[in-house]
Amino acid sequence: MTSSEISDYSSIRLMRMAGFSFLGLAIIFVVLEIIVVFFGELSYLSIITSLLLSLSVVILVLSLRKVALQTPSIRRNVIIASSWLIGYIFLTIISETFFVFLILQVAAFVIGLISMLVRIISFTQLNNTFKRLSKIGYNLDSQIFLLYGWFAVLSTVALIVSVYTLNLTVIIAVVITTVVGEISLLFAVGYKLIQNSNAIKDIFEGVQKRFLDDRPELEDHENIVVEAVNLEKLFPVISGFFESIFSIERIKNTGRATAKYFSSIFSKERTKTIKELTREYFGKVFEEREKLFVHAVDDVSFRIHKRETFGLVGESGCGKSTTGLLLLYLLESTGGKIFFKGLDSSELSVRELKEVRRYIQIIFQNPYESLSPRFSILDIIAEPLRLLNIETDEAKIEEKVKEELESVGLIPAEDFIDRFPHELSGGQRQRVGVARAFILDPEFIVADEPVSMLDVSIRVGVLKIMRQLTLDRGTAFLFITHDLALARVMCDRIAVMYLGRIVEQGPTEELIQKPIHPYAKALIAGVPKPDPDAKRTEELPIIGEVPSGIDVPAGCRFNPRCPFAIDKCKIYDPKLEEVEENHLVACLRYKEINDM
Amino acid sequence: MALLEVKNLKTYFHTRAGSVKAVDNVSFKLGKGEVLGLAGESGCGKTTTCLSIMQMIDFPGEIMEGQIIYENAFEVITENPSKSFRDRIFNRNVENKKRTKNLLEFSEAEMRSIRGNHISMVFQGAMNALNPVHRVGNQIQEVLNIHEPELEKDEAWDKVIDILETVGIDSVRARDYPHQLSGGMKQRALIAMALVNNPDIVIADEPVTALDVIVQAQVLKATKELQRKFDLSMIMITHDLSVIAEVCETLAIMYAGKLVEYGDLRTLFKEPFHPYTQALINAFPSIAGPKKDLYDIGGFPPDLRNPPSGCRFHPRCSKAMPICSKKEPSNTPIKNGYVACWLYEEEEKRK
Ligand SMILES: Nc1ncnc2c1ncn2[C@@H]1O[C@H](COP(=O)(O)OP(=O)(O)OP(=O)(O)O)[C@@H](O)[C@H]1O
Ligand SMILES: Nc1ncnc2c1ncn2[C@@H]1O[C@H](COP(=O)(O)OP(=O)(O)OP(=O)(O)O)[C@@H](O)[C@H]1O
Ligand code: SF4
Ligand code: SF4
Ligand SMILES: [Mg+2]
Ligand SMILES: [Mg+2]
Repeated sequence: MTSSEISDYSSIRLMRMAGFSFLGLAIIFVVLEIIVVFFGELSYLSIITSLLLSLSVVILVLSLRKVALQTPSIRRNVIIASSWLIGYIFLTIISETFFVFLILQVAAFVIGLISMLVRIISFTQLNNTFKRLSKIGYNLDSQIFLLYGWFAVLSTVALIVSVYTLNLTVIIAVVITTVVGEISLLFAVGYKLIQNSNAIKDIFEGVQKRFLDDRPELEDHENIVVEAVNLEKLFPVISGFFESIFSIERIKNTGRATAKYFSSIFSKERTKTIKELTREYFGKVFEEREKLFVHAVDDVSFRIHKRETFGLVGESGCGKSTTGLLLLYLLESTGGKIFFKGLDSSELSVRELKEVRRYIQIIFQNPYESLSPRFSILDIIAEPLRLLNIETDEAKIEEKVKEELESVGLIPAEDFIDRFPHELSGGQRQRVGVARAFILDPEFIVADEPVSMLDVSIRVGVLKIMRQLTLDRGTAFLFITHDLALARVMCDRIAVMYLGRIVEQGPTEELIQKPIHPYAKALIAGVPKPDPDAKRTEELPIIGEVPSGIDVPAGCRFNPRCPFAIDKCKIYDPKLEEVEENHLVACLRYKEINDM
Repeated sequence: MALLEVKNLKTYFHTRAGSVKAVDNVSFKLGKGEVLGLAGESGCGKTTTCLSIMQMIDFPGEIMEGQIIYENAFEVITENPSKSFRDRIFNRNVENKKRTKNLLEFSEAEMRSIRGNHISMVFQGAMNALNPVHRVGNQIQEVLNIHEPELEKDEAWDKVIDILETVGIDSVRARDYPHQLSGGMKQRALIAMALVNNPDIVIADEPVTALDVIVQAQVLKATKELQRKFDLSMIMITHDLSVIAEVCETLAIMYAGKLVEYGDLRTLFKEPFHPYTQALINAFPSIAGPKKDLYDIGGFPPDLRNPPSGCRFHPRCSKAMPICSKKEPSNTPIKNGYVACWLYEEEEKRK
């Protein structure tokens, strides 16, 4: 049993504990009510219940720790809910203390009422938490929390109103309804939680997991040009102001900023005026908001060999471009490593990195924007040569540029070198882009949707040239596209990405003829075919749209849309597994689905 | 009987550097319940053809010649005799005295009631042109109100909800703002907007081009279902032949402002006549069947200000003959359509 499984179990236990503590709360409530009736000691009752209630919630939150709290927006919700809950306890204590003093009783009433409102806010947030949980694949009933929160408020109001009627029967009736209602709701919450934890436990016990921790070393190690290992890139997203008021991050930042503010005000060698410092301080406090993250690339590993074209395909927003930028060292990864010819990029100095970059080139998507309009074609293609001082002799540069132009099919080259980009058509411009990428004889080229802006009739020409050049010069090529049909003609191997992960990776023909992962199957079935008899499947296998990279579903990321998803998919995050030689799939059920 | 017939349509854009012959002598027919696919590479005049049908060509464009015969045109004339201000000033043929069905002779006021009510269009790239500050439902309601101002507010809203559900958008999303919808949903909303007035003909300009494959398949499926349900006639513009293969019955291929081939989709896909159609179909990589090598058409599309003489495809055509660059081929009839190529004209003559 791996460590992750153990913590999954402990979370089930915790959820069950939370359920029991809610049940216990209900029983304590009964006892307390009896005490109140017989001894008339009201003030401690509320304090104790509020503390117990919070304790139950804390346990519940802990039970969510393993899976749910890793989802940033859920974490945020829980933090907000807990903050309000703390406020609720605080207010209850104040209001109950005030009750002791006759003069302060009105204030106590008001504060008591406010505390109830705070409680409902807190419970609304809890409810939101559960809603989000169900969005990422948890099936938990959340309405019960909301009901409970509202009930608490209504019952308090009813109590206060009934006290003013001075009619004993009314008061007693209201008190009884309130108490019975509250107790039964507490029971319901507790029961639900226990039920849920039981359901999850059942799933666990039915699971037999075979994960591959280490992938076997490939034999042709020498040939690997680029290797990505557990690459990760998170993009921070700024959240709303009010949503982040209670975030821990924010409190930390404010504390830090305050400390810095005072220390700089009192320090002797102060360089700024107090006014400037104050402005800076408030700027920091109000602008630092809690950060959510988009999981653009999450634990992606692959190898690209010499002379190989590796394709990254997937729907928009799945992290293809981000992966490309990471490999180009144009973005800094938040985790994982990139090896270029065995060199770990994180260990290279700035100078060495610059040296390495020379061997890595990019072909952009948009040929209309990527070429500087004021440079002639000669200057555009020669730019890398000149920039890196590789060639200084102008005659030789021109010679080389001409050669390159001819190799991309812009013949005769003399006709083109003096033109400007606006005098070329889209296809010709993209050829210029290709020529520029190849002029330094790079080891590795990233092409991000290189032909998606081009017309079908001129696409083929550009594609053919790219394919020819990679083969002739032994360049490793990363081809990013959302068009599987294009990937098929261009790539030797393809990786299908979904929500920042690679879900299937294998030799092109094998993957396209016989996809194994449900998402890859759907993607391939979804590709339109230029043949009126081969209609796309009338019934589309998958429904809905890609979830945002912020609320990444727990368990298998594809589970909310997967037609084969079962309960265990909501818990286990499948790792890439080698199912056939060089064919990796991340799915828990691939065997059953494919009769393997 | 064709519902819509375009005859010898010519639309030019008069620019300083010369006239762009964006649509040059284009003819086709559209039957009731028929889906016509209009394909061709970027800039060949697909959008311009359809804007001409709607008569929404703006300066510097001008419809030079041609006829656009719309079968139900008389409905408009009796239905809507009101004169617009412009009509009254210029004393245009407000009552359509000639009683022709040619939309090009209709007044602006009459055209206005044709647009949306009878022929509606989903514009290219309109997905990003939805008004960001109005709810999607309200934007559709607005369109509805233009043509049915007497409709009660509640009734109109019900109708909006109805149409949104037909295109597969949940009714609760009607109150969302465009930025809250995904691309696929926006595109569905636009289709709803085009359908809300029960038109006879819907023209969809690149309706799924910017979408992901799976969303694309979803939208196309919804479109196809709607088309069947309402027995709509549609013109589907796209440069993607696979999209056309999926939803259309008739295929029209444009090249450099000309309709080079027009006819039954299945026949043409199996056995394209025109060399350009052949090349275009071959240039499409496919995911089905055995892997085949890419076919490169070669060359680049021409500048429409000075198109090549004779057959406009001749500089890129692998089967070009001496006559091709000298004389323009005329339309040779094939099954349900025609092809404009010397290869077949010669054959015809020999018979
Ligand atoms: N600079 C950024 N800041 C915040 N989020 C970002 C940033 N760049 C990308 N993202 C997010 O990261 C995710 C992956 O983006 P990426 O551009 O890699 O997708 P893609 O697969 O290339 O999509 P497409 O096919 O549309 O180009 C998306 O959800 C995107 O919104
Ligand atoms: N307002 C205008 N002024 C001048 N030329 C124009 C104008 N609008 C279009 N054109 C020209 O008319 C020709 C046809 O354009 P159109 O928009 O109809 O092409 P299209 O087939 O729809 O292309 P795409 O697939 O890119 O949408 C193009 O060569 C274009 O440059
Ligand atoms: S693990 Fe489960 S949800 Fe994920 S793809 Fe496989 S069957 Fe579907
Ligand atoms: S007319 Fe001549 S140039 Fe034109 S398509 Fe036919 S064969 Fe080719
Ligand atoms: Mg991208
Ligand atoms: Mg267009």
